[in-house]
Amino acid sequence: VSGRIEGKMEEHSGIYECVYETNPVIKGQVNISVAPQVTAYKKSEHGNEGDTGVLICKNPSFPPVSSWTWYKNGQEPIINASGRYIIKSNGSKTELRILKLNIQEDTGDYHCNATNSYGSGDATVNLRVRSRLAALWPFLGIVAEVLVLVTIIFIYEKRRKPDEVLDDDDGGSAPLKSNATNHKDKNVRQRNAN
Amino acid sequence: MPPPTKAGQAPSPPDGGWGWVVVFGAFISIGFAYAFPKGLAIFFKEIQDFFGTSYGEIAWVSSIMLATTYGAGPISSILVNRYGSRPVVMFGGLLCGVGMISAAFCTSILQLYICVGFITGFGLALNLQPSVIIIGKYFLKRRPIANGLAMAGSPVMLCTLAPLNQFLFDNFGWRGSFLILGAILLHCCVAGALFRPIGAATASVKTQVTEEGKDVLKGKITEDAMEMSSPTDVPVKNKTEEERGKDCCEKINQYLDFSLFKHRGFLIYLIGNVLMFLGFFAPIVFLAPYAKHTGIDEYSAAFLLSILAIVDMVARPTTGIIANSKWVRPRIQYFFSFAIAFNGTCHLLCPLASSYMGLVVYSGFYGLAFGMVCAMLFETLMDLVGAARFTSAVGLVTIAECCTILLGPPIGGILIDTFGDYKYMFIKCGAVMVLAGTFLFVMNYYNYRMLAKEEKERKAKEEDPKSVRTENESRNNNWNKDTAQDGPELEPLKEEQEEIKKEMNGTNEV
Repeated sequence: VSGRIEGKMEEHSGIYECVYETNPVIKGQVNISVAPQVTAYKKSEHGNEGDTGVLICKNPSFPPVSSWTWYKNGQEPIINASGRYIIKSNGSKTELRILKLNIQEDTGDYHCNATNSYGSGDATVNLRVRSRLAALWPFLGIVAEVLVLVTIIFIYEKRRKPDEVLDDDDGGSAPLKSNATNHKDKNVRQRNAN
Repeated sequence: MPPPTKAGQAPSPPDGGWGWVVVFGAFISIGFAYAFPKGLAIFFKEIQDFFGTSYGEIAWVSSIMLATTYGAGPISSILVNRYGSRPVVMFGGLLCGVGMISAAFCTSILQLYICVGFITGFGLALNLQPSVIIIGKYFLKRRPIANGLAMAGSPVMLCTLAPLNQFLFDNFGWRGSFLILGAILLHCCVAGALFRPIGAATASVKTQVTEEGKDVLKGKITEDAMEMSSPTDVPVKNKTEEERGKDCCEKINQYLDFSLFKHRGFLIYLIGNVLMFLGFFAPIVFLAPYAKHTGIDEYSAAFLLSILAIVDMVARPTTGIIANSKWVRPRIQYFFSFAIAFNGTCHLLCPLASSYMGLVVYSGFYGLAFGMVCAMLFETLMDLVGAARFTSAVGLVTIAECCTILLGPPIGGILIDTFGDYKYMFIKCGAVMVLAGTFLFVMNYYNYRMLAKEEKERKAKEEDPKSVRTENESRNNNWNKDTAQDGPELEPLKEEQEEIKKEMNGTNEV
C-alpha cells in the first residue's frame, strides 16, 4: 500500500504511521526527515535600554535540532553564560537573552543556526534597542502644547469677560418682561449672548 | 430685583456661536471617553507577555476601565451640579493623564488595574458626563444636531487612535506609548477649557447668588401652579432658612436628583436602555472572530470593523440633522425606538449572511444603526427630563447601564461557547434589542398621551391671561411635556420654547 502527500517535503516532515486494523493490529512507521527549517519568531525585535532582550528562533520540522548556535553579524559565535548572554535551547526552539541592553553594542542582526543529521538551516533576527528617554521628548512636547493651548483659551476668555458679564445681565432679566415682547426679547438675547 | 431674577432664570440657550466650539470640545472629550478603552487592546499582547499573565487577566484592565467610566457617572453628576462642567472636565483630563503616565512605570498587573483601570477610567467618566451635559446647556433648538456631532467623536477618535497606538507601540514599546498617551489625554483639559460656563446655574462664582434667587423664585411660583415637582421645590422664604431647614434627603437631591425615579419618562428610558445594552456591544466584540470563524482572513475581518466605524462616523451627525427636523423632533422618542428595533433586526438577519459580501452589508447596516442609536442616546434623555435635571439623570442612567454593558459580551461569549455557533449570540442580541425598541415605542406612546392629558389639566387650572396661549400649547404637547416635568422654575423658558416651537412648526402667532 502507498500513500501520497502533495507539496514540498520540507513542509511535511515528521513521523508517519500506517496502521493495519487487523487482530492484532500491525503498525508500520515512515519518517520524512529534512534539514532544519528555521524561522525567526519575530524578524524584528525591540528592546528597551537596560532591559532584557529576547530573541527566538523556531524549528517546527523533523527531526529535532541537535545543536543551535547564535552569532552576531560577522562575529564569533555567542557562548551561553558568557558576558550578558543566556541561551536556552531545545529540539525545536532556541532563546537568546541579552541582559542590560546597550544601544551601541547590542543593536544589529543576530543569526541563529540549527544543525541536525540531515543538514543545517538558519534565520536572522534584527534587534533594535530603544533609548530609555526616547518617549520622553514627544511627551514633553505634547504637554507643553497642551499648556500653551489652555493658556491661550483662558487669556482669550479673560479678554472677552467684560462683554459676557453684561450679556448675562440682559439674558437674565429679559424673560420676566411682559409676554407680548417675549419674541423680540429672545432675539435680542441671542444677539447679545453671541 | 435684577440679582434674584438674573440668577433664577437660565438664559435662553444660544444655539450657536460659542456653542459650536463647545461641541468641538465635547467631540474630543466624548471621543476619548468611548474610544480610548477600545484602542488599548493593541497593547495587551505585549503586556501579557511582559507580565506573564493570561489573556483573561489582561482583559480585566479593559473591563475595569469601562466599569469605572460608567459606574462613576453619579459622582460625575454630583460634581457637575456643584461645580459646573468646566472644572470637572479639566480635572478629569488631568486624572486621565496622571493615570496613564503612572501606568508607564507599573511593575505589576495589579498596578495596571489601578492606574489604567481605576484612575484613567474615573478620569474618563469625569470627561464623558459633563461634555454631554454642557451641550444641553448651550443648545435647545439645534440640540439633536449638536448631540449627533459631539457623539461622532467616538468613531473618529477610534479610527485615529487605532493606527496611532500601533505606531506608538512599534516605536516606543508599551511603556513609552503609555507615557505619550498620557500626554495626549491631557488634551481633554484643553477641551474642558473650552467649556465656558453659561447661565448662572453653572458658574461657580455665581452659585451663592443662584441658590438664593432660585429659591425665592421657586417659592413664588410653586404657590401659583400645581404640578409634579421635586422635593426641593418646597416653598421657602429665604436662603438661610432653607439651609437650616434642609434635611438629608433634600441636600442629596440638590446634588443628585433622586426624585427622578418618580419621573415617568425617566423610568421608561431607564428600563428600555438597560435592556438594550444587554445586546448592544456584544456584536461588535464578536464580529471579527465570527468573520474568521466563517473562514474570512484576518485583514478582511478587520476591514469589516473599519466599514462599521466609517458608516458610524457619517451616521451620527446625519441622524442628528434628521432628528432636528420639524417632523421628527416632536416624536424623537419614536425615532429612537425605531433605531433600536432596526439595530435588533440587523442582528437577527446576520446569521443569514453567509458570504463575505453579506457580512459587508451587515457591517454597513450595523454601523448605520449603531450610529443612529448613539447619536440619540443622550438627546432622548434630555428631551424627556429637560436640561435642568439632565445632570442627575445622566449619572443615574449610566450607573444602571453599567451592569448590563459589562454583562452583554460575556453572556454572548457563553452562548458561543455552549452552542459552538455564533448565530445564537446574534439572535439573543437581536431579540433583546427588538424587545427594548418595542417596549420604548409602546411606553413612549403612553407617555406622550399622559403628558398631553396632564398639560390640558394644567392649562385649565391656570389664570386667564395665559389662556390665549393655552390652545396653541396643547397642540404642541411634546415640548410642553419637556417643561411640565421640569418643575416651575423653568416656566419662562417654556414660554420661549412655545415661541421657538411655533417658528419651527410654521405658525406665526405673536
